[in-house]
Amino acid sequence: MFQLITTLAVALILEGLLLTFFGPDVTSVHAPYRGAAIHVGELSISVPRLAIGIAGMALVGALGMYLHRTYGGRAMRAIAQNAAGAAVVGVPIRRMSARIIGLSTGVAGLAGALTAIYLPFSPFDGFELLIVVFIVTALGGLGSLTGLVVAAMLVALVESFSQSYLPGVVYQPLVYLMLIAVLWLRPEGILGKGRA
Amino acid sequence: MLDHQPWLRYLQPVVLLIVAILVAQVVPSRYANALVLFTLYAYISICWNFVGGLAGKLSLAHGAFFGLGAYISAVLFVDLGVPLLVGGVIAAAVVAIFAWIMSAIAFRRRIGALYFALLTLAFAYVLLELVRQYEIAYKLLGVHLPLVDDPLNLIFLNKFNSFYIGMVMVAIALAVWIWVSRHRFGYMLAAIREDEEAAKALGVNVPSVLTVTMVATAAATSFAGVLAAGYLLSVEANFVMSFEWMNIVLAVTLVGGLGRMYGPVVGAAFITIIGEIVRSLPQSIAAGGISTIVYGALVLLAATLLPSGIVGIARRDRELVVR
Repeated sequence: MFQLITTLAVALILEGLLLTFFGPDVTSVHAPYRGAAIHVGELSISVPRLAIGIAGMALVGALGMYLHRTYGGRAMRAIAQNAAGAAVVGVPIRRMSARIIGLSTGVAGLAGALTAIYLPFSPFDGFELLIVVFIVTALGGLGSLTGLVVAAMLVALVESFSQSYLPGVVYQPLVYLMLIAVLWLRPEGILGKGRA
Repeated sequence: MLDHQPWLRYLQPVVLLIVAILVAQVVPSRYANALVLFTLYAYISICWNFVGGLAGKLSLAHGAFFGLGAYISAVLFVDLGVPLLVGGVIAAAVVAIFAWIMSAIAFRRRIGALYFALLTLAFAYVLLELVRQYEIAYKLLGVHLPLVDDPLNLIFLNKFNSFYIGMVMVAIALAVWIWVSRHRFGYMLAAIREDEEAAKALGVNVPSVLTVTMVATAAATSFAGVLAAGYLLSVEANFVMSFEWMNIVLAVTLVGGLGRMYGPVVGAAFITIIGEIVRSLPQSIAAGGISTIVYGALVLLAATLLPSGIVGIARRDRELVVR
């Protein structure tokens, strides 16, 4: 529990720092390429969005390769499955745990930077996103990268559709309904392997 | 003496109340605001301590319960003339329903500490959005209560009166804590905190116990919102539903002592003083985020260095009460 509180506290401090130095307003990056689009027949695909999407998938792919093909990645997965067992086979728990935190934080930061290219942002986005991350993780399951990708696409699609067809009341009620359904029926997630 | 006459323990909150009233007589009136905040912080934190300290569950939704209690009772008062206390009961009922739904999802299936915390966060966020949308749709001018001495509606011209009411609430909460912690229910909560599986094996109905605790503390927390509504007189979503309240509750309870009876009281005193210092800083340093940073830093320090809080240090019992 104290681990959770600690990370929450760090998140709050970071948000406070952002608030102090940048103010509470929503801002965005003004870049000349924002409006660029490729035209495929009748569709007009925004180039920045495409680039971010490709970069995101590449990031996920790279992460997957790291977790499954390298010693470091396998060590991390070992710690997640059975910390004592991992220690027994010689995995340096403390060092690896620090690397896990560093890696996940770095990837998150990179994702944030990618998003900032195109979407507006404010210091308060962190917590809003955390809830989406929670929903995606709960849906996709802990310990399964494929599950996460599938869940992320599912959530994104449901979100987009409910934004178009339901007036923006609460943050996408359908997504929340999915979350409740998953937590109730299959807490390990659709493709999950770990404990709930 | 306490073994033969256990009711003597209940004198503690009474004594505290009397001492507080006496102290308030000699305190300069410019500190009245701080005193009222102190009672709010202490009361909400005691309520949260049942879930966080006794049961060992990190609920991040109690700040929203507080805000919802304030907002609903204020709106009912301003729009429909419903007496604030009656509105408070209605608000408590609404909050209880949300808490019950949250508990049904959280406690029926084994859900893990991380998911529980995130689930409560999600609920807090949903409640915040709901109130915000309502505000945008119907209350762009804000909810304002009239500044007339109206004791039955907890509106006082003399801020000290709000403080007295707040201290009564704190005393009642402490009395409930004494009762719960010495009653079978309290032991069941502690058992759940220490080892949920073992508790279940020993016959504790874990989902029921946790649901009752969550719903009861949620309703109790919303009553603090009623006091706040009568005190602040201007209720807006971005203030009462802000996550800052949850930040403060965490700081108060952790610094004071998680799971300890007087933890929230001691912590609230500490945090109120810090809060006043931060508020008095020149504007150049104290831009919007500084209080979040300070409270967050206190939570961080308490969680990493001082898990048993000030009360734990004072009792020379630096052992973790919760894991």
